[in-house]
Amino acid sequence: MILDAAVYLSAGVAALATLLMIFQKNPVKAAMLMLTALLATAGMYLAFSAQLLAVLQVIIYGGAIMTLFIVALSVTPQAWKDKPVPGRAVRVLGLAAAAVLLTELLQVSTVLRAASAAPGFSETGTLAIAMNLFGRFAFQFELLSLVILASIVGAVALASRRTAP
Amino acid sequence: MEHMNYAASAFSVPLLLLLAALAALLLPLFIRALRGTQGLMALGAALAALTFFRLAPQVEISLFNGAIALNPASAYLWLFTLGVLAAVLALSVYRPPAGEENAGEYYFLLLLSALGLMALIAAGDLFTAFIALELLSLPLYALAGIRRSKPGLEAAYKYFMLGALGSAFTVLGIAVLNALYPALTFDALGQGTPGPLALAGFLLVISGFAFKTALVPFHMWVPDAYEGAPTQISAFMGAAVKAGGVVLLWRLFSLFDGGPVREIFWWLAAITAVGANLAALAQTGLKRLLAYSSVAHAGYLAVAFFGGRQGFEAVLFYLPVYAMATIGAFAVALVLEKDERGPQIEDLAGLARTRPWLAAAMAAFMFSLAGVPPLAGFFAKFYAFAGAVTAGYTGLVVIAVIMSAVSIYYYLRVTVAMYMKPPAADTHAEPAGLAGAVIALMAAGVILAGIFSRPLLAAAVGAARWF
Repeated sequence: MILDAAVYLSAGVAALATLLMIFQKNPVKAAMLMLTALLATAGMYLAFSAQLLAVLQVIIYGGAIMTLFIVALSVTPQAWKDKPVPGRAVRVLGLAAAAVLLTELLQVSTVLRAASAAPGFSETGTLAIAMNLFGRFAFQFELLSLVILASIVGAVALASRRTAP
Repeated sequence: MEHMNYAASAFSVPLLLLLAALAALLLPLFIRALRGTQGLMALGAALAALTFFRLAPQVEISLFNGAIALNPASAYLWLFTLGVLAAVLALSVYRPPAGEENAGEYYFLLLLSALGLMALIAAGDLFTAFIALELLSLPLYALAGIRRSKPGLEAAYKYFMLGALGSAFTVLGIAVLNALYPALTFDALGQGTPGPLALAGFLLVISGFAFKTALVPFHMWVPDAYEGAPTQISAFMGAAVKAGGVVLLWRLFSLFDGGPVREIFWWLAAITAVGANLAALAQTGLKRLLAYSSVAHAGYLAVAFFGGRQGFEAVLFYLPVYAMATIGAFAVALVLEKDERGPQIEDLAGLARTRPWLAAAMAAFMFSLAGVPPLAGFFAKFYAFAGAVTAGYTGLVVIAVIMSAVSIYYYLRVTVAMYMKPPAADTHAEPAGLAGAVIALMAAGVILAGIFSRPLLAAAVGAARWF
């Protein structure tokens, strides 16, 4: 009961924030509304007891990707002003694309309603991923850590300010 | 037991390099006296690794659930990697390409890139190979622009953008292949005839690696990257990155007996040999000339693939021979370098009179790259083309030989400038020092591997059986 309420609440927040984001003119406010939508989606996952998915949603989408958005916005100030008014043809095309997506979503959701929930859904997750990450793919995982370390050092070397003339 | 001992001793090599990389990055931050010695730390580690390197027993040792496969072929190529790394480090100690404040980062990134190449060579599956490729490439993007000058940053930017595109192709292809072959090991990929989806995946992966190997039309980044990057890094790119790409392309190529993948390789090899050699004719800068020459040699290596097993023996012989000539030529460019873009060909005018030994070594490198007997480059090309002719790809070899004859023109232009033109007014007389030692070693290698090609060829033949 309370879970159902949580699902509907977070889904409603996500939908509302997305709608507001579409009609928002200020890019930073739009980004914040998108962040709200992403976090609300994470809440929905949590209510469905997909904890790992919820955490990943917060870390990857809410954390990494939103940071990227904000950084991109802050380094391209001209994008703030540059807003050509779309022509009629573009608007019609956009609406048509939206209509196609909406029908597709409705169809998928009816199909999903008919399908029964996968058994053991909530058990897949952290443990299985950890087993793979630290077991079968341990070497690749460690190699990736070197890749990330090299990227960080490279980025710092390129971006740091020169101390000597 | 014996094999595990070997695996442990073989693995101590990359671990030593990693330790040296971390030491070069971190220790000088805390110990003031160590500042400026990062290059010596890295060079010492590379030389120690080279000295204590043990050749593999005649078995394949699979480690980390098949992620890494150690065998004589990987040992041969690891030794090659260490040699290239040591030469590039010596050149970097001779003339530091990065400022004092970036020295630690420079050596850290260079050593990590070499580690990536080692992992790529020994990778047992495509997934590991991709991560290793990234470890090889990412530090190089930063190294290309480490001087933060305009040409350097342009080189880094172009290299990064096109490299990222290549990586995107590769990872997309791997995703497709993963759906069809869950294991992604090279053995598994060779099972059965691939369907259209698998072919699409293979072609995506191949085009991604063709970016790194710089086969035409995936070579657009090469001239600018080689010209704008520090000359030491250009040498590393030419010798090491190419080797990694070629080995991976061979492993993919050898999965197919015929069909569209071979046809595409045929075209790649032919277009590369023609396009790169024609473009090289118009170059005036020495580094740009060497860049196009490196693209052309990637084409010859792709021709060698068609010789099958014999062709891969030729590839393993070709790689060190080509690397010695290229590193040597870049070292000469480094000695004569006045500005970042490196010397122009006319800057070499009269070098035979002002610095006869340097000119003689450069002539040896140029003739070896052109494939003039009795230098090693001739035998490398001979074996590479002979295999393809035996396998019945005469048409392709005819194209490659004609274009190789064209290449003599531009290699000869360098030699003519050195021997037949009067010296320019301001001859740049920088003492060669450590670079001189590298040049002498490489020249000796190019000449000796030509006159006594048996030992190196025997080593290549022994190693080639394992891939």
